[in-house]
Amino acid sequence: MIETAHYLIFSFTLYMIGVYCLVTKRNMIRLLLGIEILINAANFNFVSLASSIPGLIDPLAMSIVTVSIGLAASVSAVAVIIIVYAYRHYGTLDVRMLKRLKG
Amino acid sequence: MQVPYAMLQVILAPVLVAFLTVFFGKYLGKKLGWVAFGVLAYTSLLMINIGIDLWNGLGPFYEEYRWSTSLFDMKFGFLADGLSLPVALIMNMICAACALYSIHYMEHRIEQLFGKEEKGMYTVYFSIYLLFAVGLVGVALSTNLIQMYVFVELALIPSYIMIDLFGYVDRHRIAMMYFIWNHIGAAMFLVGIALAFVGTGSFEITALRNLSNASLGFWVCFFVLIGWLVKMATFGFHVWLPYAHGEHPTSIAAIIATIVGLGNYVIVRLLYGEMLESFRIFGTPLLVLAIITIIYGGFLTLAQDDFKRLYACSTISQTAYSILGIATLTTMGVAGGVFYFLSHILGKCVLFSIAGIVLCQTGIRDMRNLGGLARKMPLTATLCILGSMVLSAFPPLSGFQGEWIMFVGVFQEAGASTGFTVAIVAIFATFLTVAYTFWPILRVFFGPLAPGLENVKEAPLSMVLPLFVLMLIAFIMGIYPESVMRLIGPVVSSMAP
Amino acid sequence: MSLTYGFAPWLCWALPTIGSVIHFVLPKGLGRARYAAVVLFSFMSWVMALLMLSSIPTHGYEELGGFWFSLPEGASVGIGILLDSLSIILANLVAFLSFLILVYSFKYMEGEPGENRYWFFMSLFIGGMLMLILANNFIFFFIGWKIVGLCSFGLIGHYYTDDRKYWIGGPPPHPFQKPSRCGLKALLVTTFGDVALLGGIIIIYLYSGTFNYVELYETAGVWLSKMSETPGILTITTLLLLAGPFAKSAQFPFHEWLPEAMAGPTPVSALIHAATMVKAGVYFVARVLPIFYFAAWVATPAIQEALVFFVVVAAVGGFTAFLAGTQAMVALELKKALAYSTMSVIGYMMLSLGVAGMSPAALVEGFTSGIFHLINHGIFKAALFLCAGVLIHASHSIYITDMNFSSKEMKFTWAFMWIASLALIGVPPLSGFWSKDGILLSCLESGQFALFLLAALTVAVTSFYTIRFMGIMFHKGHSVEKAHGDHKGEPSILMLLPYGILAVLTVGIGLIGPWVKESIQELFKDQFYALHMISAEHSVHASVSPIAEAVPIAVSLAMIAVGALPAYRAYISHKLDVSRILKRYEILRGLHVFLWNRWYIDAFFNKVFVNSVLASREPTAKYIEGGIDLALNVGIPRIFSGINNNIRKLQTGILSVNMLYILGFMLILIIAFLVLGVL
Repeated sequence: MIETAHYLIFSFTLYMIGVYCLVTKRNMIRLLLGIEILINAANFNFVSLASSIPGLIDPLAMSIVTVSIGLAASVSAVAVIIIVYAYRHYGTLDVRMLKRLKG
Repeated sequence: MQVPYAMLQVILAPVLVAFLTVFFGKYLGKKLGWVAFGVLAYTSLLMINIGIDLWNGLGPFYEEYRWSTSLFDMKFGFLADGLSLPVALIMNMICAACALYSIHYMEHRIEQLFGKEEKGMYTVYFSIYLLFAVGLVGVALSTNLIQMYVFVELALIPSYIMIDLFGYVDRHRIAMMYFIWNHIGAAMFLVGIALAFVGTGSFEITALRNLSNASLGFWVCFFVLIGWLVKMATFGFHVWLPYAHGEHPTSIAAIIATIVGLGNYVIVRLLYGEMLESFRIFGTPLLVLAIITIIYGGFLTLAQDDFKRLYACSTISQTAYSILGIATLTTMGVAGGVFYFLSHILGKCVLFSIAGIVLCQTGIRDMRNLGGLARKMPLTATLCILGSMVLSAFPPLSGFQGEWIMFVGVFQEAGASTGFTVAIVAIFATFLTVAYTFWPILRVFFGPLAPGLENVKEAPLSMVLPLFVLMLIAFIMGIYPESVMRLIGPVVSSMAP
Repeated sequence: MSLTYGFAPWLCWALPTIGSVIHFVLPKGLGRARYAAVVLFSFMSWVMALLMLSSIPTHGYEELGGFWFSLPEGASVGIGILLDSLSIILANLVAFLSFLILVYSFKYMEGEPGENRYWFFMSLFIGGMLMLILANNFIFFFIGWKIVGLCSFGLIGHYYTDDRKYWIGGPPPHPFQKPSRCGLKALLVTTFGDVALLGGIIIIYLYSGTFNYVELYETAGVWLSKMSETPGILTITTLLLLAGPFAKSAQFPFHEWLPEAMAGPTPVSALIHAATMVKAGVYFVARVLPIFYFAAWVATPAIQEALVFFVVVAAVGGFTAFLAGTQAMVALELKKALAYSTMSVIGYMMLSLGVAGMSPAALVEGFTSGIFHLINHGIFKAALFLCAGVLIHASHSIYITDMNFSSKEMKFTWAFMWIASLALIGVPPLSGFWSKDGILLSCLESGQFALFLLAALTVAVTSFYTIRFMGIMFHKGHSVEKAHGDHKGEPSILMLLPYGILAVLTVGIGLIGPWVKESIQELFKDQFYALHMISAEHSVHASVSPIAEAVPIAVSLAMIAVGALPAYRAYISHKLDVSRILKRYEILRGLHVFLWNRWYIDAFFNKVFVNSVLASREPTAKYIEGGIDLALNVGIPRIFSGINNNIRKLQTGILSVNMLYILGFMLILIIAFLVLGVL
């Protein structure tokens, strides 16, 4: 039996990979992949905690994960649209161009 | 003769009229001033009525209305006794006189700022003016601390609006500066009120004397005092006053000077009246601060070249006189201090109004460009001399009576052991007043006629007449001080331990 | 003894006060007759004063009046009249002189600008002066005192337009003074004294509990001993109290306003600055003198500190007499010379009052001579000023060097002016002689020989300067050209009559001099006994031998001759050429410059007080006020906006940085929850 702690550590690792990607990568597509990894990590977290008690799967957590996967898809779609427009406006995929909200 | 709900009327009538003017103000235009004057004259009559009853020995008058019962048990109350009524009455009469004065002045100012067609601005001005008057009188008459605070802010906000809309030179910044400074003072006052509530469980002024906890009493006194010292522009906190008083429309100048001096009444009522033991420790520091303010204010006033700023800086010095009287914590000093405050606001109203008249008629504020106006404006010059006499404590006007009574208290406090040094320094500081009030008269009204002033005309009667009435009141107070002392004296004596 | 005319004192001061506004309410159609109404009111005031004379109390005093207003803690201030010999005599003098001078000014001020103001202030002044003389308590007195000061300001600055022709000072290259500035100077100097006086009055009130004169006199023993318990208080009170009269009477060191006060119209100078207002200080000293005398000589144990009062009064008086006299010796403006002369004579009066208290032997003599000299001086100095007005008017110049009048064309004026001048010098048998002699005698009686010598020297100085200006004006001799366009000849009767009457009065009083002095002496002796609690044994009038009495007479006559002879030779018989003497002796030139510059006292005060304050204006406004203003009004907002701007830099808008913030926060949370165990 794999212990819940291992799953949690794995999901934490995925989370850190996602955050690492967001922190260090400049390319907007890569950031999008990073966000997807983050969402996956969160989903994984939910699922692992849902099945932490042997013999019982929490239906609420599963339904949340299902909705979350769907939302992740829409988020990616919207993000891709924003990236396309940003690329058309700035001519580059560098995320550092988008800093008009600073200050 | 008892008028029912007299004091409530005094507060509500102007508020009601202010509200109504919003609707029909546009059609009246500048005649609105007469409406404002009428209302304030009516409330003054009500208060004179109460005053006569008080003078004949009838007891202090109370009116209480239920305000809030659920969370805090607060009553909206009015108290007219020998101390609050003269203060409220004279402030109201000054407001009434300035309302009349404002008519011509604001016509000039609105034309300057907004163009001739903006009759709506008269509505703004006079309705706010009435709220202003209500705020002042309310502070004097209230019995509940929260109520007093409400009226303090009610006096503050309209004045901010007026400076912002009708002031001179950089008025937006100065209005904001005025508001922030005064609001900080009021906030300190609120902190003091909150502490008092913690200590006594009630917001009534009379409950203050039950404040048993000595250290809490000290802090209440401290915050209330600091709050009002900021509003009274004592040295260190005074920097907002030359700007605010120098740049606001002169017609409300007198009233802003009144706000500054109102702190004297509050300190007497709250700290001297109810919390004397806690307040005693502040006596000497306050005395020293007052003297520093008097001397510094005097020299600062001498340094001014701008006719309006001159009287603004003079307010710093003159308010400190009353603080000096109160800080002595002797009956004569406090009574004299209050008397002097009343006489000062009468004189200061006239002087500021004179500065406004000169500004209105000549358009010049710098005294270096003025001169010899007495031959063109004899009435104005006379009023200026009368006002200066009030400030310089020249008999037969009221300033003299207030000043010597106050100084008896100061000398009493200074004590023979120190050789009366503090008192002697203080009394010589009053010499500065004569210098800085009469020297500008020389610069502005005497001497040869400055170039460019040939076409100057005398101010219209509607501006000059109310000022003469105020000087008449000062004259009556001067030759018959009993009119005021019989009211103030017993109240102050009863406050002493 | 009850007062026959109880209303008289009240009307005496009330009438001129009401009269000051009477010409405003009368219809304009009456023209100058309105001003005649004002003169009428002052006449009625004089009549009231005469009525008071009829009830001059032979048993001390009479008090009228009652409650005015209440003070907290049960005290109260009254308003009333105190009629004793001093106040009745002075009230009469003031009312009489005021009436004559108003008659004179009715003609003099014809055609001058601002007549409405003039009559208002003059009449109010008379009311205020009478108020302060007749008052029965310090507060009421002080009100009159201040009113008088205010009217003085208004009248000195009468020609407020500062037209060139009204400037005084000069002649070029010396600086000129403008009338409005002169008025302000007078106001400021006298107010300085007033402020101190108020302080002294308050200190006395604190110890005695009353402002009323009679109560003060009666309880003097009680509160004086309380005061003497703290050493130094009595001295401080004395100095504060005396600053007021010294300022009002133009004594050193507050004397610099009087020469400038000559900027006002001549009747103003006559009334205020010769006859009445400057005497108010002497009156006040006389009023409080018995208190200090009581303290020093009658109280048991005697309070030695009270002697400071007399020392200060006598010293200041004597010094001023000499100081002013020397300044008059070189004065070129007629009115300035008369002003200096006034200061000098008032110095004599102060001297007399001062030595009166220095020994019991001199009390009655000194007091009487001082007041007698006050009366005489009022009369002949007013006459001199009125004549001066005529002469200045006639010659269109304020300088005596520009005046060249013939004694034949202006016979009466010449005669009257000479009479007044001789009285000023102290030539017998004119009035001035008797009173001046009395002053010198009292100096001797009290044993103050130094002051006696100073006073005697001043007699010589007085005679010199008087003969000097008379000589320059009337006796220039035929070698000097007469100016054009001077209208010679006597002035109108309305102007001539007042000073004629005064000159005649001078002669009259002089002829019956000793008798007048004796009766005044008796009155004051009674007053001392009944009112001031100073009985006969405490004021021994030393029975001086005839030889001792003759000494002052001889000395003064000798000094008159010493002063008169050179003056006569220089200015009347023209045997001496002053300019040549000055050229020869450099020390005399230096002395001349020193005296001309008023012993540099005015320059000193200007530098120390006026210039320093003016110089402090800019630093105060710019550095102190500006500094605090900058620190608070600009500094505090800057601090806030500085913090604000720096915090804004955190939001870089760059995604990576924001993620790092998230990471950092998560780390903190992990540490807090898991490691430290918070929650």
